[in-house]
Amino acid sequence: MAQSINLIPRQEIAIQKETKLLGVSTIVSFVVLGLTSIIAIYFVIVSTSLKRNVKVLDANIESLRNDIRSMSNIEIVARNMDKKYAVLKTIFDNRYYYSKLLTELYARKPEGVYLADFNLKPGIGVDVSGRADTYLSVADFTNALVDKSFAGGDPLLKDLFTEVSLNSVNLESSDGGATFSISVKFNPDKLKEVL
Amino acid sequence: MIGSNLLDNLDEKTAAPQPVTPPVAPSPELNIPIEDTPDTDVATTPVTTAPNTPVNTPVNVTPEVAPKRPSLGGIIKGTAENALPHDMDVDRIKGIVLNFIVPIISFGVSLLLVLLIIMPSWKSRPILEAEIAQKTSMKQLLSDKKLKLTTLIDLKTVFDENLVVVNKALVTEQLVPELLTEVDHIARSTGLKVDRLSYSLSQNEAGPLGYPQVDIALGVAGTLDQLVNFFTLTENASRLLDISSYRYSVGSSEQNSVSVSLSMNSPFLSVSSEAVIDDPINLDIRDQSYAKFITKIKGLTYYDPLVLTPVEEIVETPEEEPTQGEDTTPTEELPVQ
Repeated sequence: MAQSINLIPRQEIAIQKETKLLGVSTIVSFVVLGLTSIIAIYFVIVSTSLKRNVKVLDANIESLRNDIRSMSNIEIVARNMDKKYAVLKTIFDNRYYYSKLLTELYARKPEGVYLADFNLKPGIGVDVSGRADTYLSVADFTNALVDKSFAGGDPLLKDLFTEVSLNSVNLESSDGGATFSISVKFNPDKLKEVL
Repeated sequence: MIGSNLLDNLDEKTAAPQPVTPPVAPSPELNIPIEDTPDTDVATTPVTTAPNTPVNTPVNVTPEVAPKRPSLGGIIKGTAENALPHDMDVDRIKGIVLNFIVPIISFGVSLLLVLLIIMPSWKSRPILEAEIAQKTSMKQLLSDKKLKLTTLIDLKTVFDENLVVVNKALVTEQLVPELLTEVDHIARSTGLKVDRLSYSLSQNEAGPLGYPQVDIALGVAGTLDQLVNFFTLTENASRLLDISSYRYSVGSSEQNSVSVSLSMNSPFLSVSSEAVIDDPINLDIRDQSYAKFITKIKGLTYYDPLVLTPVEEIVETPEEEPTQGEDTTPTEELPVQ
């Protein structure tokens, strides 16, 4: 049976191992150095670019500030105007146009109904009292106020009045008429003017 | 097989064979106890040899057992040769360092790159990016502001007109005589008979709307149509006149005549601003909603107090129903003519 005999001395084997280790470690170290160099260069470039951008932005901002500083007079006027504009807009956006309420109320009042007293409770409703020729006229009036398909009024205000409460009705025996008192609730947003 | 290995081995050797260092036998004088059998050849041989260092390999030499080497931890007795193992280790380390000097330097440089460049850049990058984002935002803000101001300068004529219109709608001072004159004029122009006209000043700026106003109490008599006209005219007056509440009742004498009590108010606002460079201005004269609003304000009727017949005399009288919770000055009432 054939046997292999290793004739290489141990010293030579160790030298060869060490040589191999040296070569591998050198290659690995160069690879690591190369990678870290590439990454470092990338970061240097990125960092330099970012810092350059910051400097450019600083220069731009300073230039804009100088330009704006030279227009400070018009800026003050513009700010004053803006404040007043904001207040005016708020007022107009929340303003109630009560002429619409009065007009719509009278548009829905049938013949034979006479309003004697009208008391506005801002943003809530109105208390109305008056006299009607007949009791049915009072019913017609209260029904017409909340009638969304009422033909005689402003189409934009068809749902202005939301609720009508009949507080009192007194029949007059002399002429068949009636005095009444009603409370009418309305949607105040309908009295605002949309720009 | 033996011949083949031998030939192979011989082929690897160069023409200058070196004698093999004989195995170091344990010195009898040292009397060192042997604990193990390490590979002494690697340790004792300086590793400066190139891979193809020729080695003279006798055919008949097959060292099966490595010579014993004294252990570093062993007990050393005797002569000056006691220092030999320590010197051997130092030489060995020096040899290793010299052999691996290039990888060591490479790794060192890599470590320096990581510590001095990569890590600081990695850490500072988000900060720089955040700074750039903030400065970009500031630049955009300033650019917009500059554009708006430039537009205002270019359209200064229009802007001045708008300013006048806005100042007519929301005056900077109370201008009470002018206001009363305007209300009186509107009421009379609709045919209403002014029974009572008084005012009070709301100095409390923390009111429901946050600005001062002149409160007006008005008593008029007339027909319903006249009242509706009065409402319409006040709603379309250039100087803001807001009706806060009203009440009317039919007069006893004439069925068509109504007696009306109105509460009105007219705000005024004095503004003063400073130029703050880094703060934006919201006013954009080219904005559609702004233009629409200004058009509406321009459509309102301006009652010039210089043209109107002023209210002749103002007699100071206490107001009938002062509003609770507001600072009011003594009211003044106009005599009905």
